[in-house]
Amino acid sequence: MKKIYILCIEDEPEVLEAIERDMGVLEDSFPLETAENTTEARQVIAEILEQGDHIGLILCDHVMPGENGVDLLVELNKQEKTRASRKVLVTGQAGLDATIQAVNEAELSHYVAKPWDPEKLIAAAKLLLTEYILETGLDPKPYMEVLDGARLLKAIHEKGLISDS
Amino acid sequence: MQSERTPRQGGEFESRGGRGNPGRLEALVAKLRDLNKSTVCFEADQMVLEEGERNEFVYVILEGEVAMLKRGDRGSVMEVDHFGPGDLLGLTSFWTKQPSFLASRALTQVRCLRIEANDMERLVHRDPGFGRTIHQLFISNLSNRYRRMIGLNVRVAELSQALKDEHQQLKAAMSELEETRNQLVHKEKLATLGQLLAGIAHEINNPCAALSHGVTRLREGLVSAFTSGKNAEMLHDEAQMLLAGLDAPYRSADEKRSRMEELLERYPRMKRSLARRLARLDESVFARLELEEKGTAGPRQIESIEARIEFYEIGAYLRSVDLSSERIQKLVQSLKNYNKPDQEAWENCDLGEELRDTLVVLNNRLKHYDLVVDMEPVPPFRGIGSELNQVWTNLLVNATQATEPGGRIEVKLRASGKWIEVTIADSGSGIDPAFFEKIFELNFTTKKTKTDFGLGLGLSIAKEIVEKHGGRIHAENGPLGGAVFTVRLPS
Repeated sequence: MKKIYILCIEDEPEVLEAIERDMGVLEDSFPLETAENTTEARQVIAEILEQGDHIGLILCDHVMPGENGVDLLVELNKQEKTRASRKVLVTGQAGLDATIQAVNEAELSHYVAKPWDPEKLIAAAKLLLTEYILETGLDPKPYMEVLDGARLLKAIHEKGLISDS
Repeated sequence: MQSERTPRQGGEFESRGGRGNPGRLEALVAKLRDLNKSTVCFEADQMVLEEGERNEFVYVILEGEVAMLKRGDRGSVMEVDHFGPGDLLGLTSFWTKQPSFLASRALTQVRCLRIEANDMERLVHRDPGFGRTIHQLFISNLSNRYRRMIGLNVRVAELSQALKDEHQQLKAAMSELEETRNQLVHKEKLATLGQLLAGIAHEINNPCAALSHGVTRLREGLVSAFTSGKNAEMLHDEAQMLLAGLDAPYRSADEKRSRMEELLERYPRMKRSLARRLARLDESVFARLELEEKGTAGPRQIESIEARIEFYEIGAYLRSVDLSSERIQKLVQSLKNYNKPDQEAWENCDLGEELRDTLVVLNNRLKHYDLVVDMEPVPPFRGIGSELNQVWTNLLVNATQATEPGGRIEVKLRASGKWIEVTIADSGSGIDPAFFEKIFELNFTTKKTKTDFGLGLGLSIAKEIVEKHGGRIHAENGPLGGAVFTVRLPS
């Protein structure tokens, strides 16, 4: 079965570990990958796509060495295989301009201000992954328990995906 | 002499030479009986002529003073001329038959000849001498008025030029004032910002000191609570896990990824979430868990492993809190160093000495590098020492961040012609040519991991300070493979 990955990009080790811990609760349904900069992120994305897996959710810092997160998100939004991926900006210092660019050009799905509330972050991640599955038409059945089951079930009924058992 | 009156000022334009000779007029009056009866008198303040009314007479003033009045556009009445003996009143209106252009009012008791149009013709016809005299009087009177008018025009032109000059000067003064005001406002803003920054730094510093202190005591407390009176072998496994967590090593995302892959290969049935937690552990702690080969672990063993990892993680959280509070403290310190408004004084700086001071201050960073210092004597430079130190600090910190420990950092000081040149070169990763333009911009950063600046302010601050001192800062990639920053200050 094709896996749906969550990717976290953050250059501060302590902050990356914090996001990693929060997103870790979804790990057994959605494998997690982390990257410390945009170059590493591109490698990780390429590897995931090469395996034929999906990237459902990208949580990205804004200010990072060399290239900023918004530029990466804009680039990913232009690529077919990452276009539908839900994109979240996690930032403590993105200005209005960068945020506008992220919303307009990267079709930003969500904005998380640092420091964040773990419960809200997890809730947002679940919502965004539910949307991703519905939009891409992937089989929602394995995710009924961990995500928004009611919404996924409704989709199953509408599409006639329900099995005979 | 024509009259007892104080002569009017105004030089050539005020020549009164044309004014009729009252003596001759008196003689005329005496000679011509008819005219004698035409003599009229006006009391002081009495109107002789009204503005805008028809006038049938011409008046020749024999005695007294008359003010000529004109009503302005806004209804005010102003005195435009002043007539005395020998002057003619009503000349234009009498001659042109137009309504009187001016009003005239007696200032003193006035005696004058009042000649009617018919009388005029009759008299001129009867006595050619009278005609000549009266015509001379008319012409000299008119030419006199004309001269005065030209004089007034010249005066008006002069005044308006003077007014224009003054206006120009006023404008220049205004714009100078505005410039000064803008500079003051700018300075005031910066000063306010500085005070604000100092205030915020102070406010952050206090809770941060408490945080740091608390974490240190907590750490010490935990260690002593677990270890007092015991040696390491006697400690509970949980305690050992927790103490190990307090020194959890940092693992990069890449390291963790490959360790996870390794684990998942060795234990194919292991959940990714567990593999991630195990990947975080350092080798000795991992060994303590004594995982069975080939992943035959049952749910019970997994549960116990997870519980033990949890103790390690508690330790690791504490370490993370400790590291983070340390970073806040460093950040606050660099904010404070940057903002020293009291020390902002222009002085003669010995750049060599200040560079050496900066190297000493940064010793703990620089000791990991092959540092080459090559300084020639340079003339004293007039500047703000503390600010220039900020420039050297930022450039050197950048060099250490861009260069792996063991790499080379070169600091050079030269006097070359009109410039004093400071060069800081490193053997690090260099600058991506795509970023040459951007590196001096606000919020641009290439920081890797642990930094106490990292706000993307360093180079933009350096540039601002160098330019304030009339200098230039320039970046390129040099022979060492890394970046070369050159600061030129005018000597």
